Amino acid sequence: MGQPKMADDFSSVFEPPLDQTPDVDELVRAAMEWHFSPLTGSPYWVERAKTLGFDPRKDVQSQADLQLFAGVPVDWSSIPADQLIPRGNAGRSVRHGVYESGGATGAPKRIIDATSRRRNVEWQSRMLDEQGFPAQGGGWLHIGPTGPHIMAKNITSLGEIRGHLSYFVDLDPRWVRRCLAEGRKDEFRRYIDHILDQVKDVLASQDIRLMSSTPRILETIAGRDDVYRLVREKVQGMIWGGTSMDAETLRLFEEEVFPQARLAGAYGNTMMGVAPQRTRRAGDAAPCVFRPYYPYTIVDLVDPDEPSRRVADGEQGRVVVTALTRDHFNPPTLERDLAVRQPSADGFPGIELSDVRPYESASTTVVEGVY
Amino acid sequence: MSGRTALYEIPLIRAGEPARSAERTELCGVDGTPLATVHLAPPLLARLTVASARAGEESTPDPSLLRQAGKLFATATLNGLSPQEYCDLQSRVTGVPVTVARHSLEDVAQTFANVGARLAAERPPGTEDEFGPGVISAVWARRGDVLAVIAPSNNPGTHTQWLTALGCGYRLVVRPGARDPFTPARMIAALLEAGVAPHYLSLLPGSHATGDALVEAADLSLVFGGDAAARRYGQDRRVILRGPGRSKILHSGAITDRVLDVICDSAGFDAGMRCTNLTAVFTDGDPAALAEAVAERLARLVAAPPQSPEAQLPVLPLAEAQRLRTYLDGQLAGAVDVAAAHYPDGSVADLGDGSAALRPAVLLCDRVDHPGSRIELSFPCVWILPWQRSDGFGPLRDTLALTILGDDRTLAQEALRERTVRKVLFGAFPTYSAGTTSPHDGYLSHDLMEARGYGTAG
Repeated sequence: MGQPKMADDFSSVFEPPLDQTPDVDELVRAAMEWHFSPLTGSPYWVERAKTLGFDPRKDVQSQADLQLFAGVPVDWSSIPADQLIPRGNAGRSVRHGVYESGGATGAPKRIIDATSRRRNVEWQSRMLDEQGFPAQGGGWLHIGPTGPHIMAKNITSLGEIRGHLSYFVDLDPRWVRRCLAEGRKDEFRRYIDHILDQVKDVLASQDIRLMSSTPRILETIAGRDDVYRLVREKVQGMIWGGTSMDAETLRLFEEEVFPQARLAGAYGNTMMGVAPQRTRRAGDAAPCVFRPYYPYTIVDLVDPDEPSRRVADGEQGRVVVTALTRDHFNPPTLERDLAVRQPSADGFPGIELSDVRPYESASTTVVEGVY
Repeated sequence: MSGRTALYEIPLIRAGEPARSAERTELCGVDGTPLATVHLAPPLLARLTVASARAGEESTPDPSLLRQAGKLFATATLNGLSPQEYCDLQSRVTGVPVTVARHSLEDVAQTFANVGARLAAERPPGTEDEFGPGVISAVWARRGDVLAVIAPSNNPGTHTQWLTALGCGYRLVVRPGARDPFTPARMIAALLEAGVAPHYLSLLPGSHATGDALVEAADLSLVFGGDAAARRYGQDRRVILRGPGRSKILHSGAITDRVLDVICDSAGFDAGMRCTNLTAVFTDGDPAALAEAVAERLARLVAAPPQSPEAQLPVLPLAEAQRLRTYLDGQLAGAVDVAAAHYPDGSVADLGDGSAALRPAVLLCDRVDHPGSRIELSFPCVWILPWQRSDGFGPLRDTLALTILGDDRTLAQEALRERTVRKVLFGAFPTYSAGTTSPHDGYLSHDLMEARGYGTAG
């Protein structure tokens, strides 16, 4: 058997030094070759290629050609995860993990990751340095999904890179959603209190200096005196993400609730990776602008009513993500979020976005009853 | 209007202090004209505001202070708006006829002035403020310190309910209805100007999520809403629910002018948007004849833009008005709208400026258990159902105000025994009638206060 094209053949595109951005079309070609070649591709994509009606390795030569995948839905919830491991990774002696989405829009989606996300996090870490985020020493407490969720792996990587020990308080977002959907507010409250009790315990006994969580959890901390006092005393940096945050809430967190800490947002999900908050600049139209990890994550914003039209700067659009890493290929996929496109700063080649919020199709109901 | 005039601005009020928000929304008149920018509070601010209201010192306002505030509400220029400008803005955005806001100026002032008398009337005899040493007695004590108010937009008068709470010493955090932040903003301005301690008054326009956070953070909440609110908050024992009203008339005997007056007045007063407006009439007479006569009279109510003095019907953006009518048409279940014949140009009166008035509906039902008696809509909409004495009070359950027309006093006595009928009026009282200290839906202070034992050894 002849030696297959090895991983190293693409490393200058998949894993160049962090300050080098590969040409997007070159990355597209590398991703097509890597994921669809019978030698290096995953069983899933190699098999799927046979029914696509086009040959990704031949027909997809540029970012624009990715449109060929427009009619190709992927049911990430049902693919056996082992079928997603690129065969080429076998020669790289890396450890694979299975990671799941929170399942906000149905059954959880599953992906594979070995080393790609760590690069995304290294890049995020550089942005945190630029923003004066504390580093070296002390612990990092993550209050959020662990278990199958990639967030925990990301935070572990971030902690390692930045010189902190990672601590976790596990939160099951699926249970929270279920409580709320079924109107079981009491149970939800008790669960949050249970989470905050654990947070308090870690904060009281460990040298915690950084924290990451969702806006909602941070809000509940602001509403619980005992935990809030500990956070104010100890935490110098915070990352929020997972759900959206409006501009006024962000202002309140930064100026009134946690003025002692640096705050940084992180947009993203299992399918696309992390788009960290880009360092704020005078004249920014929004207080928090997210920068996707281009070109490994390509974010597009399209007209919700006419998805073939890309929105202009300043316009709101629905998020479309494409992921092109060595471990994971996500063809362009319409996501549930809306965001506003921001003009990219300092020549950054991808688009930037702000004001992320969930897309809710307009439905109006008649309100009955006079009050 | 030439071009875009400056919009009237409603800031948040955090513990008495006006504050701007990075989140805002634009309020338009029912005809689509942008009229006001409203600053919006996110849920986090609800928590922070409750905390600062709680932190302030005890300073329950004296009833004379509230009386003074009532005068200011009715007569002063507050938040840059004269009384007339306030009425105009309120009516154009909510679509409630301007006459409602105008007579509310005086009604609200009266209610402010009356808080002291109401508190005295609602207080259980036997509770004291002070008593000598050696006596163990009862004090009338608050069950909490902060009351959240999730308010509606249907009628300015609704807001007067929370004055009782202020009189009890509750610090108030009000989340106004989406279309009427003007009335509570004006009330709060009047109260602050009269000298109520700032941390007793906050106004936080915002979403349902903000309302939820407020309810969670406050000690008690007064929530106005329909069935949806009941589902949302019904399990929460710290929530005092108000509405829907489903007010009714029980009619027996002849159909006289007097009877028709009371029915039509109950249905059409204040454009039919109050919880004490008539929803259903149960009659042991001829339902068809009654329905015809009522429809004929209600059809005289005038459809006009809300800011015009002749307006008597609620106005909505045209599409919303049509949607509401379509919804009603889908609920008929065999009932017939006998009023429709009176409107050659349709039940929705297109006012030609993007808005439309909702003309009265009179729905004749063929059975006492027709579901229509539970359908309360925000315009004059009356269901008329056949009723026999043998049907009893079962069909009349869940009624905020019940007027009994006829001469059978024992019916009124029986109605009082039905717990879910909250007010019984015997004779020619329209359903919205109220005495100055009569309970609206029970005494509010009985939800806010409790008697506790207290004694000091001699």
